[in-house]
Amino acid sequence: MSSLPLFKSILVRNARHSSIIFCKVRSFSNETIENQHDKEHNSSEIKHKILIESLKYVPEKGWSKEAITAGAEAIGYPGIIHGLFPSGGADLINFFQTDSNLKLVEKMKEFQKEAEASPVAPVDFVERAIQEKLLMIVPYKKRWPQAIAIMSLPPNVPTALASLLTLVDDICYFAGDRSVDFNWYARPIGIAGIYKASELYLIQDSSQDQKRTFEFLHRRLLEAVKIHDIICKGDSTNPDTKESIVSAFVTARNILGLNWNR
Amino acid sequence: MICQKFILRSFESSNFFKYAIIKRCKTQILTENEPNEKQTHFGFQTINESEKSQKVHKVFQDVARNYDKMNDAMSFGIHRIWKDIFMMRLAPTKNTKLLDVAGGTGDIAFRFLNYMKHSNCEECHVVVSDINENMLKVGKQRSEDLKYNPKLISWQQADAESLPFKDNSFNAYTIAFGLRNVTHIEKALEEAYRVLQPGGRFMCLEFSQLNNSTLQWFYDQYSFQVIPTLGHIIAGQWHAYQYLVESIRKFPNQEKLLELVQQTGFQDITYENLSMGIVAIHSGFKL
Repeated sequence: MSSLPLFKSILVRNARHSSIIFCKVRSFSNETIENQHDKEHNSSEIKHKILIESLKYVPEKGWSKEAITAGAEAIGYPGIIHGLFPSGGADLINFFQTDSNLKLVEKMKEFQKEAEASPVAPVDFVERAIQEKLLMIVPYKKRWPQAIAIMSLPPNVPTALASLLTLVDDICYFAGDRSVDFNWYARPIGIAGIYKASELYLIQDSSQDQKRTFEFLHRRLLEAVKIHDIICKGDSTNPDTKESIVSAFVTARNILGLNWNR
Repeated sequence: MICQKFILRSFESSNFFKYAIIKRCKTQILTENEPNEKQTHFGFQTINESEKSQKVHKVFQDVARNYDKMNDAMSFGIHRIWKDIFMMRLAPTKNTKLLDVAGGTGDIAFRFLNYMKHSNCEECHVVVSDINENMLKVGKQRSEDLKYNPKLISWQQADAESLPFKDNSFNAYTIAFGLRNVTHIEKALEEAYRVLQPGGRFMCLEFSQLNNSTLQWFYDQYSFQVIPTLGHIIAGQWHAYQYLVESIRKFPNQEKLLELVQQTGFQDITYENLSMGIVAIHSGFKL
């Protein structure tokens, strides 16, 4: 009996610090009745409204619970409603990423129409798309290091990677990459790397209209094209290495739980 | 009284349960005479619904003075951590109007005010309500001793099943270790829904079921063998604490309570186990 209190208190103390391990959060999922579906819809609509409003407060309050509170209050909800977003800042960042991915898709559709009239090289299309995406971050530039830090925390890594992969997938698709071979993996990874590097460059870039970031991006893409050429001409990759790399990617993707729904 | 002494002398669980069974049989025989009235549980006993609130009232009337001391003794102080986590999850903001139901001795209300100390707390307010005036008395006294701003906290005797507040008058509702003692849980939840304004949050901290049968066994042994004894030694109340441990077993488990919360109309409902399910935090929003 004497060890029980100690045992219990240790567990509770742990629970306090690492809520992931000891606190099991489950939401109820037994929605069969139709009006519950309506309610679900209603609830996600409200969440959407609050997050859109909250983004306006990010430059001032950062990617935080406070920004969500301010956003909610601005559209007439009590601040306490921030509990709808238990991950706080991470939920807000994830919303921003998903939302701007969707906006980018719309932009790229426009680019595609323009490209029909005067064709552009895929690499130029990619450059333009990445530029567009970087411009969406610019209003939050001062707060972007915080966003990167939050999304690098272990619990947030899967969502961060998922939105990044969605982004590069979309870019590749609209740039005209319909390949089903090894390139289908290689290109997105390359573009993801270039995009992330440019994002980091952008944080410290104080030039007019992000000129230097765009130059940086341009150089990286030229390099990528060169590397690609070398690999293609060399034709040195044998089928075995290709297969093992492909299976590694598939495994990694499954571990992260990334299906291709956005 | 004789029975009680008898139990004190022999702590074997067999005797203990026998006693409980005999008592239950007695009440059943008694109540068979009035089949029209609805029945409910009071610990392991079955009683008429009208009796429950009186019985619960008496329990808390008796334990009020030693309530906080007993909480510390029974849970080894862990109840403080549970309540801290509860307040952290609520994370009140500067214009929060909180209604703390069944919060007699002020544990949740004081945590709320401590939480708000660091932010500009001009617009926040907490109403502590409890059905039991003795519990409220203890809370008021503590509030004075701890020198909390009386403008930010008010005390109201109220039944959780019919709250004397207007619709949409609060934006947070908490009930910690209280829902278990309410006769009609659904009614209390409906009242919570009514007094909350759209966007308001409902949160409940309550004992629940462990998710591991071995641990549940240890927990049961502790509950039935140790807690009533502690209650007798510290508070001089064996039956009150026997009721406590029995009522925990009778209370709906995590999933069932979540269902009740959902049926009331709350949305974005979740629950979180603390200490592997000894207690659980249920949360929902009125949207």
